[in-house]
Amino acid sequence: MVSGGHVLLEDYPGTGKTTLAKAIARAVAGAVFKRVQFTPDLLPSDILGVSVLDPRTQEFRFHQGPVFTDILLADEINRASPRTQSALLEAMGERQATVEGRRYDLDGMFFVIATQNPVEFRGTYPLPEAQMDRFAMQCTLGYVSAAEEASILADQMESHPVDSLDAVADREELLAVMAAARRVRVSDELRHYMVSLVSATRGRPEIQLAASPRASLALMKVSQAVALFEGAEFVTPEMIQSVAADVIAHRLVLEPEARFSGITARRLVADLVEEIPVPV
Amino acid sequence: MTDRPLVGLVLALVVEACHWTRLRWEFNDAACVRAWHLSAVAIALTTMLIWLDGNRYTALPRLLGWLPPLLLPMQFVQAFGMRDSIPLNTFSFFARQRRARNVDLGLGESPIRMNFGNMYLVTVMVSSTLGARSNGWIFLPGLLILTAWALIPMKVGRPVHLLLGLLMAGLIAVAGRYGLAKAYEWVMKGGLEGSDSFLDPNHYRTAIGRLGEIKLSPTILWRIRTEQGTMPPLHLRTASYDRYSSGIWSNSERSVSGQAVQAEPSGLAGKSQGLQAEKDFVDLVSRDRVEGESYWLLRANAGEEAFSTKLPRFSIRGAAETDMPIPLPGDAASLRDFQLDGVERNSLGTVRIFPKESVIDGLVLWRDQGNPEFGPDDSLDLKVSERERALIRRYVRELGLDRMPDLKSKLDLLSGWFAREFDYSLYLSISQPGFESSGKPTAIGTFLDTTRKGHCEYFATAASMLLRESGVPTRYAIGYVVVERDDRRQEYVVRGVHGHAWCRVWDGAKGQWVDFDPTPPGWLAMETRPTTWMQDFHDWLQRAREDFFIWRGRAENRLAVTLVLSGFSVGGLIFILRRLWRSRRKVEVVRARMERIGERPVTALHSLEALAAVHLGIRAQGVPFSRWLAELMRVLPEPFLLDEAIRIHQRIRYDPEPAPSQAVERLNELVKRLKQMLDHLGKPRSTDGSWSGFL
Repeated sequence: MVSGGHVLLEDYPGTGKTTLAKAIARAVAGAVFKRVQFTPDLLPSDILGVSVLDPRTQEFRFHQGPVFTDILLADEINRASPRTQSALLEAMGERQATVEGRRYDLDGMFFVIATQNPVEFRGTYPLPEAQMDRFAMQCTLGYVSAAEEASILADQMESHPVDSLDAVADREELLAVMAAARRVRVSDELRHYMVSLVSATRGRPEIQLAASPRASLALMKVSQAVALFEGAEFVTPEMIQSVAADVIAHRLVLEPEARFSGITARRLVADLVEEIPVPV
Repeated sequence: MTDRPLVGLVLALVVEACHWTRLRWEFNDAACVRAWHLSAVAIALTTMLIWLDGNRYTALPRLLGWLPPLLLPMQFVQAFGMRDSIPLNTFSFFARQRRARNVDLGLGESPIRMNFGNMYLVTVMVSSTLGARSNGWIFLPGLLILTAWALIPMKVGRPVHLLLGLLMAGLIAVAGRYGLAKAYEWVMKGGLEGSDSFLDPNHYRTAIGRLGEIKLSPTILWRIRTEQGTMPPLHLRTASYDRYSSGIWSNSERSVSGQAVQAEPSGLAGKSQGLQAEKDFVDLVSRDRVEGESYWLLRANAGEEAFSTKLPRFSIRGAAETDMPIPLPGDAASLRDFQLDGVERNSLGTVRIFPKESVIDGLVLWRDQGNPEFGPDDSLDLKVSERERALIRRYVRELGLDRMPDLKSKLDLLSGWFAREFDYSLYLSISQPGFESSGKPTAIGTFLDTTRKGHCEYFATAASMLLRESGVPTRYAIGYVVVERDDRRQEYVVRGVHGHAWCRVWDGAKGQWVDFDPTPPGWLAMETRPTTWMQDFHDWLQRAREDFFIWRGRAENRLAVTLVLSGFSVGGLIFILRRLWRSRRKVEVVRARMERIGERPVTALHSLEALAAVHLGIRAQGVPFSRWLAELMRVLPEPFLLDEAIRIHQRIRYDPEPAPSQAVERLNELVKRLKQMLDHLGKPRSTDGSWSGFL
């Protein structure tokens, strides 16, 4: 969020993706939060907005869709058809929306947090590669441990803790943090290191579709954000390595043979991290 | 393959090399198909060559024996490719078409894949048992060692289970090998098409006393051409025998001159008979009449009359094998123009040849008032078997054979009697009683007394015994009758169905053996089946094959044949190999590279790397230096010093802003203290006594 990218949470149903997204939205005071529940019959206009004829003025008036917001929770994004999913492309990539030939800017912070079930699940449409590339990171939550699950039960005996969550920052503060993240310094050497990591995906026989320069860009921005949270003024190789898999893996399309032989994109990125000499 | 150990060794090295090298290519599905095409073409070529080479019964084992090298392309693509399987649709054009269509229509279909290695292993196993030099003593231990080698890494439970597995494998192998050997033997002995395909010149098991129906093949065996206006001989004798017992005609022991040898002690009789009979064959010599025109003289002591230009002659052509008796007229004189390594003849006139090519073609000169066989020996050629003697004697008296004045009247009487009273039949309805039931009539007895119906072997055997009893030295001859004329090609053809048995009787007046056929006339008409178009096609194919062989056998054509054949095969192989080669992509281990830019600033902390490596082990190139070094904090007495040093180091190394000079000084100081601490620590000693790092 601080890096200015979007995040995709992928995990099994019930692992707390939506709860996390709602918690993030509540944590920022003054930010407009909208939520779209993606369903198979959702149309692009349901997201972007639609022009409606005003009978009084006899003019078309544009009704903004949920995309005009600060924080957008795109819940179960892979349940909508690829056509609808693609409606988000422009908004996510360029922070603007073009509806009926008119361009609307999404100024300030526009942060999409999307959740999805694993692609193999029933009733899902896999996200197009272009859409995947728009997400800066893809994270998984995973199942919690038994003790943690028991404490979840205890916490939700009477009410959901999310409902009583207080904001930790307001919109302006967050924008300032985002600006601060952009000021985190990255040495030339580490920029080359990031490019090496990303471009190494392009020569591998196991990979059908490799990571794009957009991935390098996202890797840098996310590393900067990590540095900011660690209180550093510059990025170190450890920070890059810690987010490499989250930033790069979801953009890769593996060859079927590699997939069948049990190789995962995250594993591949981890291998690359091990292989590429790190600046010492 | 066992007869070519070098080929086998090279093959094994190629197949196994994949385990020793990391060399791999990216072979796609098209490459699998091309490899299969290469294998299929190689198999087809080999099959053709083996077929051209003659014996079709040995063709299958020979082909199986050559399968490992022929299937090598498939194994190669799998072993040196990126996947450990090949798509099953590689083998089917239609399956591939269907898949292509499905893919066009957007239907996802993942082809079934199979591991070709297992199939290849089985092929190698089978072919190793079929080689010319396959040895049971090596095969079984070899198989057990291989099986154990495969089973042991699989960690099969207890040793008992391993032993049980090996026992099973051994039993199956022994049974399979024995079965294969027996089947091969059976086929080689003519199990597929009567007794004609493998003929023992000393021992002949007739169909007398057997039940069923005689089936003979309509395949053309020999083609005969005569000079304009002359007739070919009616009977072509392949072999003669002189002793009958319970459905089996065999040869008595004779010396080279054709006379009986003294009986040996009974215990050894059976064994020595075979050896003696084998020795009976003598090599014939060839003689040149004029330069370049040599003759094999069939008769002992033959002179120039045996290759006189006045003698009638005919050409005969057909497939021949080494050591095979060839059909010749009873009064054949000499052979000419055959491509032979040698000719043998025994005292009964059976002629064996050693051909150079698998199809022979040449001239036979005949009718020179002599026979290849020696004159009769009354002690052998008048003998009637013990079990039939009383019966035969009765018939000879009833018919008055013994009272006939000369040979001609005896033969006329006999053939007239057979023609009147007997019927010809290919159905075998008389069974031969065993030796223990000596009271029962024998098969010949039943034939003469009761059924009076049978095929040529019955007639020839019965007639032989009746004539012997009436004082005429007689022998049993088998061979073919020449009756079918192909008018279009002006030649006679001899098929398997023309196989026949008759008698050779001694004409004392002429001093010569003559053919006597006691079978009622018209037997052939009963056997002749209408020819089908299939048969015509088969004949045509066979003729083409023989023509090719004869053409190839000529000295002037040999070089051309070799050049054309090898040119075609090498060209085809190169074409497919090239296609296969182009459909691969070499896979290299991708060594990710990091482009170095400018000078790498060195900090004092870098000097700790060698010292820290003693405790931590060598740093992997992908592990960040700081994280690696931070592991030392667990052992250092003052870890915060290292933490501070790392922070300053990172500041100097990774911050684009230049670090203040105090920081560098502070780092130098810290590093000095850290070095002292590390020296103090000494070398770590792990619990098992060996030096090792913490990691």
